[in-house]
Amino acid sequence: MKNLLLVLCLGIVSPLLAQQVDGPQLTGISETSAWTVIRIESDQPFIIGGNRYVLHVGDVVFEHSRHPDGNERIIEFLVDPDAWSAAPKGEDAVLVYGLYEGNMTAQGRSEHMEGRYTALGPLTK
Amino acid sequence: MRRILFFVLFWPVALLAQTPDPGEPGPYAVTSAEYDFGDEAFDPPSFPEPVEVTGSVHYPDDLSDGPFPVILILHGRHSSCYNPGTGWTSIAWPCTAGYEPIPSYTGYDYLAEQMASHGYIVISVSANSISSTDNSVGDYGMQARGELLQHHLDLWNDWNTVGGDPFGTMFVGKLDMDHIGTLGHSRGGEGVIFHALYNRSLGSPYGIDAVLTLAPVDFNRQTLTGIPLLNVAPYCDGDVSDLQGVHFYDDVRYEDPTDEAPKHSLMLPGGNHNFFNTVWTPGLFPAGTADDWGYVDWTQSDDQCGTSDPGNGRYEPETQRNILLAYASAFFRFYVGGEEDFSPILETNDIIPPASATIAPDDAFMSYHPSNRKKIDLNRLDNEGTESTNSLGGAASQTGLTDYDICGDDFGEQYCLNLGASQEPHCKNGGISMLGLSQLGISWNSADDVYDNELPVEWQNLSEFEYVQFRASVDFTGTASALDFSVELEDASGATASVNTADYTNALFYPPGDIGTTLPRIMHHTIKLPLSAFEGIDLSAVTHIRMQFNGSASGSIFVSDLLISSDENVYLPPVADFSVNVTTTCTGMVQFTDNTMLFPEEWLWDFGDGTTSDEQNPSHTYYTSGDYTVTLTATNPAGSDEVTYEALIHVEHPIAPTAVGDVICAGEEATLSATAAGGGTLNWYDAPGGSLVYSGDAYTFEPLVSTTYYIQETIESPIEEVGPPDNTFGSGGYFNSNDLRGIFFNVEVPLTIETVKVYSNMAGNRTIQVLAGEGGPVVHSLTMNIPSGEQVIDLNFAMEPGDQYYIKVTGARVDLFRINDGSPDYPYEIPGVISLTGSNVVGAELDYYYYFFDWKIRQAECLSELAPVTASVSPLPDIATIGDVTIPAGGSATLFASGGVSCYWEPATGLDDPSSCTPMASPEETTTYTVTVTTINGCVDTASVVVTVTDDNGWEELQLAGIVLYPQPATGQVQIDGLGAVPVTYLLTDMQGKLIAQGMVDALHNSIELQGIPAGSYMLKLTGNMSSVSLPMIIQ
Repeated sequence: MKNLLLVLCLGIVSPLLAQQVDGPQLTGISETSAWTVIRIESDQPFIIGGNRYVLHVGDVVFEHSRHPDGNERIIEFLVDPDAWSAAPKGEDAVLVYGLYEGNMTAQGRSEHMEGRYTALGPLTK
Repeated sequence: MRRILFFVLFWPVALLAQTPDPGEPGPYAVTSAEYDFGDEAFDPPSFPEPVEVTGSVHYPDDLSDGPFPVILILHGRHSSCYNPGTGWTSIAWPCTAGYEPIPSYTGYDYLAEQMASHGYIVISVSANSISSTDNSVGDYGMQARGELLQHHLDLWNDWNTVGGDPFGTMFVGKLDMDHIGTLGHSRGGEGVIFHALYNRSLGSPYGIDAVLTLAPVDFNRQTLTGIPLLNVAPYCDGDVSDLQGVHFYDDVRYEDPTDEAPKHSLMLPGGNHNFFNTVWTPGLFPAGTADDWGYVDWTQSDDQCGTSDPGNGRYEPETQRNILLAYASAFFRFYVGGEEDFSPILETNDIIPPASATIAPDDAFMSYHPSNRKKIDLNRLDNEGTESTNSLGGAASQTGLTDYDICGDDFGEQYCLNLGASQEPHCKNGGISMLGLSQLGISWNSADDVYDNELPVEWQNLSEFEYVQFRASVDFTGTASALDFSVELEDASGATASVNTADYTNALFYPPGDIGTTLPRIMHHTIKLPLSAFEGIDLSAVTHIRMQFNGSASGSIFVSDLLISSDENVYLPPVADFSVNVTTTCTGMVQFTDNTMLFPEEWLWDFGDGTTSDEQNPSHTYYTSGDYTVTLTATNPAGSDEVTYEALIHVEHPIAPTAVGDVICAGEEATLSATAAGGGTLNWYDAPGGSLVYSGDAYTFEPLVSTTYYIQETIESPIEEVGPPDNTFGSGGYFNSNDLRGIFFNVEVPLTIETVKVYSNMAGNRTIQVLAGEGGPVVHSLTMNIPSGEQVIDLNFAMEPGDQYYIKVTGARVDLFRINDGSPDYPYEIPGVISLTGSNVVGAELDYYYYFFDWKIRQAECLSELAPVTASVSPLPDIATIGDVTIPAGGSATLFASGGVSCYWEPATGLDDPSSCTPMASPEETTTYTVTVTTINGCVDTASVVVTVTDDNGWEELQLAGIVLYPQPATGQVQIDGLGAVPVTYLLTDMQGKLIAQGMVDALHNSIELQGIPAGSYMLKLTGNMSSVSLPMIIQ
């Protein structure tokens, strides 16, 4: 029965998961006086292309990032202290390739997730 | 690979390819070279890291035909380095040990060779360093890309003028730097937009003739007017999967009514993001390549874009490059090279792709927005009001439609289908708060359903035009197939004619693909119908243009940009309009802005106060309170138009000062005074709108002539305070993480932000800016050194009314105190004046207060009406006297003085009446008499007369007592009795001393003829050898 329910659930949400990508993992959050650095690592290179990775945390989005030492398997989001303080606690973080208006709200993310994305789980501050 | 053919009703037979093929190689043999000044050779001012200066150049082998026009190419963001051994890539810069640069700039060599073969010098620029770091920069490195391109052009300008390493003098005189086209791919696409704007900000040292954005991003939503633009949107772009580049076309269509640069947008149904660049294409470079469609469709199974589907619509990589070769060549050869043969491709008169593109007729779709000189907008469909009134002022209406709604025009309806930017690329993209394309959604289910636009009488003559055109897309949520409908014209006689759109376009295809939240998409394409096809219509009197949905039984479309166009410039009379910066003023100062359409060349403003101007955008001052009607008459060679706004300007000056004038005689000082009614400053001007002469309440001066001044009271508004007075209301710290933070504020009346208080951690320069919206244009920018500690700094930022101004500190140093504990109490406001509404910290806008405390603001001053005040100057008497006389002892003479209303002679000795202007003088000795003459205004002056007394023996000829003139008054002749035998001379003068007649008389010849002498009072002076006598005389 559980397997049936699981299959049914996957069948319902599979259109939404069509662009979901496994692999990237949230590996660390470090804070300095100037920045909070959210580190995400993957065993595969992140896309290095025209678009930008963004990190949705609840309805807040962090847009600016870097690849430390040019390492394409690591992406660090640089969040200034105020944006970090404003970010909701305990909300799920979602990494998306591209900034899409529909992803800015929980409703949008649940009903019509756009772009290539990875759910990273709760962003524990 | 087979392609899916779109379902079309039938192929438009009439539209066979007729244009020469721009994608064929040219006549020149081509050579290439490279230059490399190092990985960190240039510091873009807008970028935190130095960047490489590396590039390639393709050029005609024989440069003797130069100078040649230039093409400049900028690649996008891509891995910057690779390890040849492992194939791993890196985004570091410079490349680390074991890694080599990925030469993305060489990925367009095929295009460079093609263009060079046609006589262009093609430069492709490396930007790996920018790619390495740009995600951490506020604008994603776009300004730095512009600065880098300008740096390369500066280098080439040197090589073109004086030569230098590494090319020596090879290129001297070979580049036409006034004719340059730029092409940017991906982030390079937005980079070339920024470059064109940057070049313009520098005074356009280089002539950018055309800009091509190839699968670009548009993170910052900058707009480029005045330069022909082609955006290429690949339908199967899996990288920039929301096809943001369509905004470069959409955003700029109606921005500038004087914009004569056309816009183009090319949609490629089978194109992806990467295959335009050979270095990014799998199989053509050993590392870092990808078919980007896999980013959104990892199984590549989509039936249009997925390469694993055997019947898909994807281009082979070589085909995709062929398409770019054909269309980029057409674009640059037309706009940079002036080869007009290629205009039909770009202007959608020839919609068949060139053969060199190696694609099917229905595999490329061009949109075209003509120059403002080649079109009139029937209905822009740019706001809700256009559902009922079109852009010409005629009625817009519908019959029977099941959907008829403008969407995308406001933030409450920013998407038409609520599917998001990937499936609705023309709508708002993520990030910057800026709407996308406003468009009309139409659905029908009956052949009787109609969408109609009426043309007002003044716009019914379309005989100068050639096409009716619009953009449209099939709405895949409201239909299941390609669509067709008719366009109908009706003229004033009631005659109608219609044309099936399918006869002239294949753009109403059902959008292909079906994958997740990316496909299918709504993509607008131009549909262009020749007016000549509407047979039997009097094009000089077209009253209606309709869409009749009598083709497909039902359907849904989105429509934009309904317009009438021509291939050539059409000269129409202007449509006058204007706007003002204020409609109510206490200063009387109003800025008028001309908004006339259709290229006016002359302007005549009637300000309603009796004054006019022929400037295009005059500023005018009303000196008298009241309500003023303003009329603008705009003229061009085709005619003129007039617009009047009744009682537009309400001027309410404070009452004029009370002024007191003065009346003086010439040579005296005048003192004028005034009293201010409002306690303000009194300023004195030499004329209304003239120069300031004085400030104060009394003015003393010595006028030479009567002089009027105009006094105006300036009532300065008091200083007002807004915002928290200091930083003690909450806790926080010095912020230095970035230069993005600031405060939003609204301004409701003209005012000046005079000072603010800041708390600086370290001394140093800061740049404080006010923007029109976060990320918007800079309104004010001020760089100053701020010492450490609490500082009050002078800004003096003059602000016009507006919402969502954004004040921030930009640049490398911020280091100013901000509150971050949630304690701010927004809004901080002066009701009706200014309101500080919050910060830009998303999700916690009201919890942060950035940098600027204790704002001291001052509203614009008021100016009173003018009070004229005059110093009246009366002239001194212009005295005429008899002159000096000689009498014998015991004799007498009549003195004479004129020029005033009264006289007084001194000394009185020897005068019978010192207060007479003609006293009898009989002094005993020679006497100098001084006469004081007074005018009717009381002004006085003096003159002197010397009466010389001789001894009795000198008196021979004349004795006054014996001289008689008769008749008196005399008419025609006067006799003189009492003369002796010795002749004497006579002088007849008027009362001003002017000589009228002279001669000799004696006892025998004792008459003087008076004919021709006007009636009046005169003096007759008789002079002998020893004496003279003067007698008053009246001529009648």
